[in-house]
Amino acid sequence: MSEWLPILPLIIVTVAGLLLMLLEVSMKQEVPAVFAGVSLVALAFAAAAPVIDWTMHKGAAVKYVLFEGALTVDSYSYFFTVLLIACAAITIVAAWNYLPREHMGHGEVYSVLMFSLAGMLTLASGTSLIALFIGVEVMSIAVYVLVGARRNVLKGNESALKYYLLGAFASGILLYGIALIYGATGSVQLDAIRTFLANPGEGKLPLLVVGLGLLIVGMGFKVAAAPFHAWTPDVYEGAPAPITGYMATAVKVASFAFFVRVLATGFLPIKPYWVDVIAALAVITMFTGNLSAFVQTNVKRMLAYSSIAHTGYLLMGLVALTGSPDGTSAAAILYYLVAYSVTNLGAFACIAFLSKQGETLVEFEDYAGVAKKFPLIALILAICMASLIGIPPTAGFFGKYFLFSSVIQQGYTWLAVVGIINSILSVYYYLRLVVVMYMKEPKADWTGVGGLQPARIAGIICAIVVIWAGMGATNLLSLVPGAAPLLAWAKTSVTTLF
Amino acid sequence: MDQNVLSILIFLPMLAAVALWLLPLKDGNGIKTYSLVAALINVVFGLAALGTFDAAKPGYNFEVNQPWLADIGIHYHLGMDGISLVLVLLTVILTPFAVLASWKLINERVKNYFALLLMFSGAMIGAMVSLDLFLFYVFFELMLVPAFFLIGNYGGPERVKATIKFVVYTIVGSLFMFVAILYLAIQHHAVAGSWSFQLADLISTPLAGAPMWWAFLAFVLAFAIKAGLFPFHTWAPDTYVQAPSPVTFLVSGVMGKIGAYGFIRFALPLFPVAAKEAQPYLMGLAAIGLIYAAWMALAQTDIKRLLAYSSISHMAVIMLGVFSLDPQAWSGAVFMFMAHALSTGGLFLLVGMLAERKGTAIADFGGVAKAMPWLTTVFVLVTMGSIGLPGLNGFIGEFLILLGSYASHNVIGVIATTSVIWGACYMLWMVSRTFFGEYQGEVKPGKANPLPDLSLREALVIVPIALVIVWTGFAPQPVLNQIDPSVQSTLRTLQSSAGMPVTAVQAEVPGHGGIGF
Repeated sequence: MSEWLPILPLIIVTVAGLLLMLLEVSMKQEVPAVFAGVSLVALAFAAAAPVIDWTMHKGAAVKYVLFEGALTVDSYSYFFTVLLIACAAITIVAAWNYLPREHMGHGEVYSVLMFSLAGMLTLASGTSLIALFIGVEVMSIAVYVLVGARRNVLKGNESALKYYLLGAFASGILLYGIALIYGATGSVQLDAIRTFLANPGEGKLPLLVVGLGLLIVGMGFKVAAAPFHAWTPDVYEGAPAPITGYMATAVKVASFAFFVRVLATGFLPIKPYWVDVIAALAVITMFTGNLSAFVQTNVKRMLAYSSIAHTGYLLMGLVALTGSPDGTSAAAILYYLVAYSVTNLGAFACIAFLSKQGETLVEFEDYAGVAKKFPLIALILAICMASLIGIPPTAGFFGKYFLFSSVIQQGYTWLAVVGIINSILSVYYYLRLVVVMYMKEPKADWTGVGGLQPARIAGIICAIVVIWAGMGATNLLSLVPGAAPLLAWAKTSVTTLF
Repeated sequence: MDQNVLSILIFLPMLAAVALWLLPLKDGNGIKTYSLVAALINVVFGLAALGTFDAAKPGYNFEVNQPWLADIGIHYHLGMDGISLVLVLLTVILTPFAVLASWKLINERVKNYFALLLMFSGAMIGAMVSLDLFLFYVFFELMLVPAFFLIGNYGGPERVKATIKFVVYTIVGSLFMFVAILYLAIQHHAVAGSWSFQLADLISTPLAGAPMWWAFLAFVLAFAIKAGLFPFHTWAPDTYVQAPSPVTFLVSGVMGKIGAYGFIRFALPLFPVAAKEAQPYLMGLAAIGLIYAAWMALAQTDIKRLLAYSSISHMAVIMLGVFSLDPQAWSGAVFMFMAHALSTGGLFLLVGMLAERKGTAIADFGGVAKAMPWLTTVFVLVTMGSIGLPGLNGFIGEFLILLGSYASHNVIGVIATTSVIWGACYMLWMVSRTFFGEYQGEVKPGKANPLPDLSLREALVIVPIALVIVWTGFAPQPVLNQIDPSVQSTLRTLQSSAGMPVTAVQAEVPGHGGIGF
């Protein structure tokens, strides 16, 4: 088998990005449907490759080690490839006529989106620290551009610059960590590091632990873990709503794909060295996110802090990582990421729908009475909020269930209780949005809102997935994933990690 | 039929609600009739279940046990015994009354209201017949969703505050219980090697030591909040007052009972040792609660708020019976589920009728018995049921509970007995100030009568309830016969695993042949 075939999704996405750029300059009149159509077709092909290979193997684990171990395309990366492509596709649908409304170019946004996706796919399959670093950079640089895509909006520019400066700094720390790890172990391959760690030489460990610490700091920045989260609210607020949704989901998913792979494949033998750090990060992150979200008046900022809080829950899952392939914690993280992504994409699609030109309607008070004017959008948002709280039968509930039960199973009951206390804190601010939408009289001026039909469709799709992935015993129409098959898939996917 | 009746009872109202949202019904009366018909069809199924229910059958009737998410041991496991039979029938039968009582009250966003009401009813029934803890938790949380919107959208002026308080309070309890459920399942997995959330499996692998206590406390917290047990009752007055009367009727009449039911079905059998050790404290809390709430009721000037405290006080009596771990007290408590739902729920409906006429403050009325003789008669009758007048059903329940609680802890039993006195004090005082004496309000001649007597629709709502109060007060034994076998068997298992002497007293009202026969 050729080394190039397994990375077909990566190739398709990159070529599509280039193609979209050429289309942009060669077309006299921008037709949104052409750009969105080309992107979606490309994504469909990119997703088809892993799905076909997966079905050919009848759902058993697959593993192709490529380019001398720089990349490993396996069940784990298939899971993330499909999830990331789905995130990108929903983002494109949500942005369909949001972009012309905000006078943004299709070609540039979609092509940069494709490039960022290429970075993310690298992150999903990278097994050497250098390949992973390249993935992080390709993803991040493209996302910096996306954040500032509303060139004529001051806030957007501020966000992009802030994100760029801090992000560059974090990348530096990450790279420094990788250098130290290389210095200690003599390799950047994760499995070589693991082999080394099984029997480390005298005096090598301190250097390695420092390197790992820096690596965790760099990753903490990318996933918005406190205390490295300070950029998140401003950037989420300033970025265009569909892009914020993309950042809150795809960027986080890809970063966690990296995080889990590095810790599970590379550094499990020295778990005692990092587990307390991650546990502390998880606690701080949960409390920071939830307590700050309490006082927000802007819906996008509230969701930014909420995404920080959810990073905290996911970090709890990292604490419970174990060496056995059937240890559910890694699978629980995967399931949680699906639940979290679909929920947030739905929420941001609704926010884009309601935001009005220039995103003027994004404060809580602007949402008063939405249920009267746009009952369907209010319903979708309410379902998404229920899922973020973790009310059954939604995907968010099952995500929490898998995550918390794996944490308890590994003996960290105290951590699960902290997580539950945080879930309770979060009830208030998520409910507040529902209360405002359903129980307050409309105040805002809605003229001109309601044109974004594709965003509404994206929201509907997400809401259906959120419900079905929270209760389904089978896949609905073989398309919408149910809770049980999704978990089974997540469980097979993590077998190749260890 | 036998296999599916429970699923029908749960999902018929839920599907009817979904269909209502999808149907292009615009007309208010059409929507109301549709909801009433849906609720009545469910009554038919409920009565059919009662008809084929076999109290003597060991275990559960109508049991269904299908894998739902089989990989992780989650089952769709439903079953009904005498205890859940009472609750399910109550819910099923009271739902059409709630629909009828809402008829005139709800004129805006009608479709949402009735769909939510049906949803609420279905979710509550689900919680009452689930025998898989995971499934139970799903329904337990699910019923919050319609309640949240019903109170927040259709309630009084402070409704938003009330509904947030209600939901946050309840979720606090249930989330801790969620962790405890996970912990139990994981312990079961460690011992048995397979995943299961089924009640019977989890009972068979008991915890011990500190984990047992923490898990027990988590369950206690969840159910105590739901039942409004002192000091976790503070959500209740606000919710009861702010919710529209038909919703208060369902929340106080049925939903609160799920807290007490949770103790009987889950919290106590899962942790028998802890239950036995904690018994004096829990009984003490219930005793404090019943006196505290009764005194609070004495001080109220608003009828609805007074009834809210009265309901909390009566719930405390029920909880006292549950914590007594005595077969008579348990039978009494389950009987009281029904009695309390009918009397307190009925009173909330009557107050709703008063509110439609004038208001809910006692000072608004006074001497209105002349203007509304029939309404006054029914009100007094239901009040007597609530106080526990012999010959009405409240008496049977309270009597059995006090008997049983005296047997298990005599000091608390004696203190609890005073509840009868307090109940009579605040209720009769309220009734006398509201209905008797001089009429306080202005009488404007020539205007339409501001205080019409019971209308036909109102009579249809309240008279059947009053009749059942009388009927089950005179002839409680048919009901007790359904309850007893389940209570006996549940309690016997509990007592033997807690190392307590096994009591096997048949719950009979002493000399019940003499009461009214």
